Amino acid sequence: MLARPVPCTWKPAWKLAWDLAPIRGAQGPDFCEREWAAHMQDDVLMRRVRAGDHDAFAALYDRHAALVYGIARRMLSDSSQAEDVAQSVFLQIWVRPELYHGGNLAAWLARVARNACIDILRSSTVRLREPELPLEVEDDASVDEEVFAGLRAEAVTAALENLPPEQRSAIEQAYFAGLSYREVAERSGAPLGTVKSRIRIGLKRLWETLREKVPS
Amino acid sequence: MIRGHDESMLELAALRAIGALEHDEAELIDRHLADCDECQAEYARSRAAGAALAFSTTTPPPPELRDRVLSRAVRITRVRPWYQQTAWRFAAAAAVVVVAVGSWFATHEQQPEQRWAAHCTAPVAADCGDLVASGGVLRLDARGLETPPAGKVYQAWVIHPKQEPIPEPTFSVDSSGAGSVEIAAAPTKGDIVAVTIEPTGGSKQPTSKPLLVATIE
Repeated sequence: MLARPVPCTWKPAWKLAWDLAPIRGAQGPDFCEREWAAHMQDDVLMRRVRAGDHDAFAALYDRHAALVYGIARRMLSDSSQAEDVAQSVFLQIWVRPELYHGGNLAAWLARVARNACIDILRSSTVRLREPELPLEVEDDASVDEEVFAGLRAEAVTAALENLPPEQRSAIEQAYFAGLSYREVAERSGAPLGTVKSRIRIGLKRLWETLREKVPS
Repeated sequence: MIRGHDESMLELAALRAIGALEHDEAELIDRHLADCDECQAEYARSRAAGAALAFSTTTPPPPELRDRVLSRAVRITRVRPWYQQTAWRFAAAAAVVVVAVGSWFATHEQQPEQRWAAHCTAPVAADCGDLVASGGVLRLDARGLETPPAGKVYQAWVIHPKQEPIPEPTFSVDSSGAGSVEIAAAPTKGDIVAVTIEPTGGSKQPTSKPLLVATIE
């Protein structure tokens, strides 16, 4: 049972800009708002972020930065650019929290980070961008919840490794390199229909495996 | 609701979910998805499976990134309730990154351009450019500035009323004395954007008097 939160002692905003001690460490009472924030659910944190709560934002960053940074680093293969993407994603959330409409926040953040990386990857190619995802489908988060509740990184890695190599490779090229299935086919030398089928079946197996591993 | 179509539409739905289609096919399946429950379910499952892949890449970022992100957030002043907020973007990252991330968010309202005059302090009140809020970015377009001495650069500052100046990026000017710098702050009435000459690399606090000042009114 968590103790009731009490206010932290804050420094003026201008001091915080180059003295981050109040964000990093304990200031004021033993159990202040920022420790409390670390135990909140994502939707509660997001409500507080909307209200301008810096502790909630810091807790949100601590919880999801490795996810956002990790996908950017994997996709861009550049730690500096990955930091830039992660910084931009989190600052956009701070400024425009209303863009998150609910559902699994981690899944949403993963999509935002990946979309940003794809735009960067595609900026040097001639490939036409896809239009934005259809909103009526984008807003349906029920399936995300089914998979993401209790999801662990090891489970995903294991599920991915259990796929046949050609399915795993096709999915990884499409997802992490931002390639279209046609581009995947060109690179692998496989027929278009085969690549489409590999990606679809691989994703289906992945989803089924992860669903089994998630405790109901 | 559509039923009984061939496997190709289901494949397109799955590929669409991870962004692996090209433009024409994406438009085709988007139209179809609106009316087909079977494809919508395929799309949702594939999207969840695809997004789960992100978890396999989880990597702790460098600790200094946390400092950067949180200190930037502290410096951003929200001038209106969240439901009235407009699209503010940041010059914090490299321009291509800002464009990439911003484009995803840019499906909502656009911020109309606002402009305030920037004045040099010597000669007093000379016209020295504009402070422009446009497309979610606050930018100072300075002109009429001299080339700074060797080892020195221009640096912008944001000053909230009765508070210490907040350091913003350094910038240079071209041969005509013009230069621009993007500022990671929302424009707030009463705030001042100033420019000083600082050592190369910039300063945490101003070491000289402002040469240029713009007040947000």
